[in-house]
Amino acid sequence: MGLIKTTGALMLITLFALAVITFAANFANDNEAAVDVGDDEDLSSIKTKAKSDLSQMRTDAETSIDALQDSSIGTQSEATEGGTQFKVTATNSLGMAKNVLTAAWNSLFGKAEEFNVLLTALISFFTLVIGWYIYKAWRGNPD
Amino acid sequence: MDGIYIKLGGAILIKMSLFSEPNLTSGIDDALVSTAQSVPAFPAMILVFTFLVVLLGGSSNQKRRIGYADYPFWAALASIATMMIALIFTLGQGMIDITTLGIVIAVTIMSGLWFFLSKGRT
Repeated sequence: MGLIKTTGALMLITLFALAVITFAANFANDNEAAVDVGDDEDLSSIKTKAKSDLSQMRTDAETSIDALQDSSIGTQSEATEGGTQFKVTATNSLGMAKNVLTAAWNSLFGKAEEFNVLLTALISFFTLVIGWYIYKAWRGNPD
Repeated sequence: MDGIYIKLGGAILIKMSLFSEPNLTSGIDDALVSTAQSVPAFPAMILVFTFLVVLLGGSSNQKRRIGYADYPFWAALASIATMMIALIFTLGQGMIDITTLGIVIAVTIMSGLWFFLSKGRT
């Protein structure tokens, strides 16, 4: 598995765990179940931590791509120093995709917290992937 | 008479008293709960049975049809099916406790981890 697939898999594991626990908790709330998964402290804390981790991932991803934008490599390298031709198009398209995704997502699912965490994860992942592709195209390094 | 009796030639030989018979006239839920009260392992057995039926049935059928079995996929599907049964059990008292439900959810998450990290779909 490459970097993108591994990161995607780990993120999907987090989303899957979050979905399972949230579904079970909402099932209990909606049906007034006698046994509520919310009473399990460990599982409830996983839910909170996973949401926090995904939110932090988005912040880190955006910090990372900002740092990539500002970075340059020495003139002794075969690559161009600023790598602008690789950065501009990719980050612009990422910005457009984020805006379109957010608008479409809000229209479809509203701004419910349970759904918004998926959008957060999706945008974080796209940001990371775009950053890796820029770096790969600029420096020519394998993933 | 409570219990199950084995008769041979009209004479009662053995009384099978493994558990009290449930009252089948008051609905399937009452029958399940009263059986679970008599045999505490009963709900867990149903969950394990569901998991194994989906896992072994699905994977062996896939192997027979296309030559290989995607065990991580079937494990994830089996645990989701088991979780659905477990969630239905949570609707009333007496069928499942929070520890068992926690184990079912944990198994589901671990199956998801196996599924997403398995090399078969990369």
